[in-house]
Amino acid sequence: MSTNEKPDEKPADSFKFEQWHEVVSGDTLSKIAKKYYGDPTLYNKIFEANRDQLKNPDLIKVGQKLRIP
Amino acid sequence: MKFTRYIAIAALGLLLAACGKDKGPAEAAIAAATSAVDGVREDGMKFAGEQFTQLEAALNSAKDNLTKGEYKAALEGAGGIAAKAQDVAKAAADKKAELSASWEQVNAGIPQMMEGLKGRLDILGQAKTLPEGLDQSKLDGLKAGYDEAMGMLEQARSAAASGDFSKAIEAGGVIKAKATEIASALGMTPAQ
Repeated sequence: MSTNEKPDEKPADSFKFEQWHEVVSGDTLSKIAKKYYGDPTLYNKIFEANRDQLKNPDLIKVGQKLRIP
Repeated sequence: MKFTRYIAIAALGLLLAACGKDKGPAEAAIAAATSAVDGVREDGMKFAGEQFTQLEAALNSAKDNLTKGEYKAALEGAGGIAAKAQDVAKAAADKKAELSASWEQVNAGIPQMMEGLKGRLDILGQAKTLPEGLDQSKLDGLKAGYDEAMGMLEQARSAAASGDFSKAIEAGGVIKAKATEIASALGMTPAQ
């Protein structure tokens, strides 16, 4: 599995586990889903987990930090 | 000669009477002390073991003195026990509250932790193919590990419900370690 890229520091909460992905040029939610889940069709899981910053699953920006559920 | 004998008998009688005079109060004091110790026994043993052991030793010493007929010593020994029992009760109550609070924190945090792992395991369970570095056998192993951790959580909760907070907290630590292992295998890390 890939290494974890973390967002800006938040107060420590050692009871939760998470994984983040920083969007790079060429990324799509399908490619990201393929990377973390092995299945690109599961991209909607990532979209739903990031509705606070994503309005459209086809519109992601370089530098965005997406939570991978 | 006869007069001396009478004096000796009278002196002995007085001595016995004096000793016997202390017996009743000593017995009453021992009974009260025993009741005080019994009253703090359960929590004292669980949460203030060392202090309770000393308290019980003091009671047993006073009882021994009673058995040997040393009523004054028995009375003195039993006299301070009720106050010491109160000290043990307070120490036990404080420790119980401390452990209970620690357990509550663990108990609140573990479900959050496990929820994140379950979410990922469920998603991977839906995947037609698995990501690099993970095969079905490994995924099945991680799911079994998750189920085992959840089983341990139930056992920890039972221990806490019966007042064994130390055991529950220890189990919480094991669960957390197991969950960290699963998370690491999935590429997840503790929230920052």
